[in-house]
Amino acid sequence: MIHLRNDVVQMLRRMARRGERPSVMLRAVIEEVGQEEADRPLLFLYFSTAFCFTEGQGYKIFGWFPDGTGALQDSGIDALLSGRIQETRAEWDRPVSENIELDLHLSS
Amino acid sequence: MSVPAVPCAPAGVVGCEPEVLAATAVVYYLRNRRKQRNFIMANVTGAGHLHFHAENLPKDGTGCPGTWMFEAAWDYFFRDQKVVIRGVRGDWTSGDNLDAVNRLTVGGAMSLEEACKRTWTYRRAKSKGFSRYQYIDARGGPGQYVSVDVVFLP
Repeated sequence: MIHLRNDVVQMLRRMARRGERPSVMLRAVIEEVGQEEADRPLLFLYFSTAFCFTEGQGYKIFGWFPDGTGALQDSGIDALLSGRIQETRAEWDRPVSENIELDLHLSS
Repeated sequence: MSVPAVPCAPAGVVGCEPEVLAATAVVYYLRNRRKQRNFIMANVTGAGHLHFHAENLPKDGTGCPGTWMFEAAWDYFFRDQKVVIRGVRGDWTSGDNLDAVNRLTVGGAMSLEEACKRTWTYRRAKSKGFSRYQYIDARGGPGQYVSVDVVFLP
């Protein structure tokens, strides 16, 4: 079962408002939820939820690994995701009460 | 919310023990309990495109096959959720699809479109009736693409 933590989603949005780089945000999620748990699918789900990605903008995350062994280095993931996060800002940068949709509370 | 049935592992395959970790109206996440880098994450975009990332690494002949995982995701959205799928995205920053595109476009030997139509994802898309190519985005150049994003349409 996957549970996305609201505090982590809100942390990502705060970081994005401050203009933090996506690679820094990805590592912040890993630190927050633990390296064992924070595989790329979970990172993808956190980013997709936090930034209201409905067009698959987060799939680039699958090319990135925190240890630098992925096809995308930090600069690559930053270049590919930064603009996408800002493009959806009108969707995710709202008062908290208006925009919490953590519906990945499923199965296993 | 009802929990979707976990599809039975394909016959004759070694080391495939699937579990569905997320299945909503727009997201489907199936992974292999027995192999860490063996999963499919799929969703249907607002435009109705099936967008996914599938892995089965290392390539050691074990695990849930990519084609089988694609079919599981397709069945979940198309058959179980009754979603109208309007295209299949090919969005690659690594892996066999991007490797094929780069191999085929070296020196301008083949156009991006032609190369994309020789990928595994294109074959999956074509099997569902989506064979028309539409460019979305690409970074890099022939033989050296670092990111390719296309969609296959009816």
